[in-house]
Amino acid sequence: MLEAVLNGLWLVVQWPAIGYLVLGVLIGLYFGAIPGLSGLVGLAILLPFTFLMDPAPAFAFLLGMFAVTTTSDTLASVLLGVPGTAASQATILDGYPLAMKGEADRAFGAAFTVSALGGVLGAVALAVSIPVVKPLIFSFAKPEFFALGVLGLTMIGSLSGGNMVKGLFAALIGLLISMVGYSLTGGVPRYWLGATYLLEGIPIVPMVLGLFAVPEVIELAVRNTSISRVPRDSVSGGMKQGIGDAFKNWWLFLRSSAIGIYIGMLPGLGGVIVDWIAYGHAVQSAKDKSQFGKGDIRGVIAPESANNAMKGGALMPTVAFGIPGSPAMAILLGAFVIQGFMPGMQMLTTKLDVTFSMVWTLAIANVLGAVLLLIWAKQIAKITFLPSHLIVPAVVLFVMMGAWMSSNTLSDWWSMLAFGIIGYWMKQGGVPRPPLILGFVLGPIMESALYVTYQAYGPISWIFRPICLVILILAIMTIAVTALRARRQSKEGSTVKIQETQNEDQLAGFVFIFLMVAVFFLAGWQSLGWDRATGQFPIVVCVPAVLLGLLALYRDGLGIKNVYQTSKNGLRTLAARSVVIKELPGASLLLGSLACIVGITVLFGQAIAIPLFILGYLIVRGKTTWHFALSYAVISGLILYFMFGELIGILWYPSIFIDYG
Amino acid sequence: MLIKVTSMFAALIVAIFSTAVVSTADARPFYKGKRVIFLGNYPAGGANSTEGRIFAAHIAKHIPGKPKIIFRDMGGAGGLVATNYLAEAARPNGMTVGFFTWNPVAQVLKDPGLRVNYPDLQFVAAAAPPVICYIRKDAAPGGINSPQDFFKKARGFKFGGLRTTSTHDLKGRLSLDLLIGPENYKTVTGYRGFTPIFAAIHQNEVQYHTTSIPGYRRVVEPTMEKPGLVKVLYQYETPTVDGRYLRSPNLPNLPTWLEVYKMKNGKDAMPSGMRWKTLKFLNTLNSQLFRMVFLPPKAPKAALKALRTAFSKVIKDKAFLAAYKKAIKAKPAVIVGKKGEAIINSTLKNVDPKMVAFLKKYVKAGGK
Repeated sequence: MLEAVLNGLWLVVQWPAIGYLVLGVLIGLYFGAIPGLSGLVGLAILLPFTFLMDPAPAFAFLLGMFAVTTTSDTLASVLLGVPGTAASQATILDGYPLAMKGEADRAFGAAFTVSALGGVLGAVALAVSIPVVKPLIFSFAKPEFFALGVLGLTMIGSLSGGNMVKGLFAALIGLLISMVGYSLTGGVPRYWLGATYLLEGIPIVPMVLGLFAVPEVIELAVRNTSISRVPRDSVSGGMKQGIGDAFKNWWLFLRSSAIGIYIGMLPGLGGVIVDWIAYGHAVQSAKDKSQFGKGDIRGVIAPESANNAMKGGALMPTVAFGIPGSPAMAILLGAFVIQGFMPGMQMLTTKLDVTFSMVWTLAIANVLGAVLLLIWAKQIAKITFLPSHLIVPAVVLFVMMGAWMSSNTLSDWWSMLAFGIIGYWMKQGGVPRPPLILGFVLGPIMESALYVTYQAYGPISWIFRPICLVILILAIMTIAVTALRARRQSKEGSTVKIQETQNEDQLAGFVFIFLMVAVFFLAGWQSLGWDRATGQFPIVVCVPAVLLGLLALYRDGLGIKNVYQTSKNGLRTLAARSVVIKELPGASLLLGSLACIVGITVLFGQAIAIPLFILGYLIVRGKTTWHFALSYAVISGLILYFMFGELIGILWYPSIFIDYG
Repeated sequence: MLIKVTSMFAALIVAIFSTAVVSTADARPFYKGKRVIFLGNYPAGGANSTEGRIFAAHIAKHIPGKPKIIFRDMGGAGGLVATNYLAEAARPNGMTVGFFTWNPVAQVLKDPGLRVNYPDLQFVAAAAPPVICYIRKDAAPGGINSPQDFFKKARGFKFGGLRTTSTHDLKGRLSLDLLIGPENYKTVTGYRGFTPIFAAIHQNEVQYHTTSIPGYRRVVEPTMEKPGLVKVLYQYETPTVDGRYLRSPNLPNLPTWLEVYKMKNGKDAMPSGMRWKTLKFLNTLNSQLFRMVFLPPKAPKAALKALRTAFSKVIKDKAFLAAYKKAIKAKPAVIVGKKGEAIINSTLKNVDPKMVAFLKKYVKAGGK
């Protein structure tokens, strides 16, 4: 065993493997930092380059790249409130508020430290669990997946703060959205509005960018502030404080890493939910929850530990059983086979040194990636103090292209813009957005698990499988504890609230919920016409959603009624207090400009449309000089050409007048 | 001033991007100096993308003019988004070539998501990997160690499926119905891909499954067959125009489903009825045509000719064959040009309405 460990290390540190590892890390940092790209895209692009390599450099290259995408994805999450990859969605909840307080470098310090250590822990877990991995993985069948989904939904209590009803309602919106497209049970398409794009469901990247990035862009553009709401000289602490925070919260780091490793190990879960579960756990287990959502460093430490640790866990079923838990692992499995290795006993016996070389690669890459980012982070964090008109064009470029890479069609952009409006409305209306994402990612997992469970195990007996029972009891206990805490805090007047906006717009929230209740009603009504298997899950979601929505409307209605009755000009007062109405002209202008990008793309393609937007925005809104605006636009054009066109090789829109080939 | 600067800027960007805009209509090879996009219809990382990228990497040197080939993935709606894109949105100039895992059942069942008929696309070539069927050995008392054990002893096992309309589920159900009867097994459908089914086989959640040769070589053989967990039973046969049913050259020692059927029912026995007709129809479509190379409906004939020639040559290219075998673990079985076109036209242009009605009913019954 020790010999295999040392041989594995030797395979990685010898030339050219170590060179490829460093190159992989640099590429991985880039793929993680740009929203819309990810380790998956990186692996798909790099895989063909490894066909002619020897195994050790090939794995060092691929795994080195893959290991660090969840380290650099923190940059966009903290700086812009835009998830760099799907695994850092939860990081924005506290990372971005930290940036708004001018503490981006503190967030980076903590995030990169726990990312490195979490990644190393994941690698160690992979090494030590190799002999005992089978029962760990295969004890989770479909019934356990469903139970885990139920437990995941109880995290909504942690993500909704003081408003459990709205949190649950938002989660049900997520579940409803997850049902768009072909049902898992038959070929029946649900809620697809006649658009082929929607037949396989709404892609997560345009949706998340719309929900989280577009509202931030609107706010930056309309309010014309820097990301940091405080001046640079008033901020103390910085990166050293962040690194200290990581060590101070070592117990949270360990628990979150363990969550990451185990979730990563279970095929079919992985990156999309691991950060949410770790974040939810951090909130649930914290004694003082008052700062979560407002810039609590623990809200960064938990998801960032988990998403790097997850990768070691994800390698286990891939190496040991040839069962890749995610599309990225499927590519790695392809790489194994191309290199002449077969997963299974061979990788655990005669080729154990190769398996250990992967462990070493993960560990070295995680540390190297974090060190490089720590060196650069202080400079990168300065972006938060720049005026918004300099930030908005760059953010628009990366957000638009990030969404575009989902399926390379204009529908990605329309989808992002639609969710941008929904996200902005929810944010201003006080309807929490994180539970929507949680519902969306858990929806298909739960529906598939429930349907298969029902067929394979019958309607009842699966509940009594030992692990299922334990998870379901945990779920019930979580709900009970959350309810008791909420009641106690309500009595004490110390309700915790994950704050998404400073001034909640009651009117906007009321209208949004009202419309969504109507949508749920129609969706439920439509599902009555489907066969039982297809219509069952929609009904299970729509009925409680309508009831919860009505309850939320009743509560919000009382507040609105109160304002209406106590002020002289009821309606005017309500309208005057509405942030959405106040910001409507500015928000419409920006959204209109984004829609113009779509229109110009149809005529001339992205390469003209996006730089043109940037040019116009900087001159009209930013009031910059022609020279500056033109230089900015040309650089953007070059980024589009080299980074997206040549390096990533995206499929450009086939515009009417220009053929980009 | 504004117009002048804007024009200069636009000209600069256009100059950077439009290297491939102008084409000359001289006697040069059609693809000389061009950039061709091979468009995959499943997300990056899947089997379609892997196989397509191998073809894309080796085909250029066989196309007159040696164009630059780039592979792009456009997943969505079970491959239908890219199929519609090729037919409706892509310029029919020969520069966009579809590399699709096709879904002929969608056309037969008139799936609303498919807005094009496959025979309307211009067929270039197709590759098809064989599909094997396997079962856990402990699915019957005393164990299953041969196809005979399977049809004699296996009762009450579960077949892991994807969705009721998928060719995978339909062929699996039809072949089991004909061989052992629908009352002797249960279909558990709704898995989100083959990977969860592989896991479900390990967990004994389901016991029977079918997979193509890359899945077999990568997962089933090393982690299930060699350790003695499963028995590989048979492969789906390849029906030929002259009425023969062939084994795949990649699996010369594995009997076909039809051979096993004859083991059970006598060497002269032949299945009959609508189930057999439908299974044969699906086998004809899938065992020879699986990964399809298409051009848009109105693409130039010169492009079609150049690509067909290139595919005929690439399958003899040693470097390509080595790369293909390394990644897919099989020799490519490729059909080029008119031969494939004839199969598509003969099967999909005149589908027996009785079979369509049967298939619709059968799909519906699978969802209950």
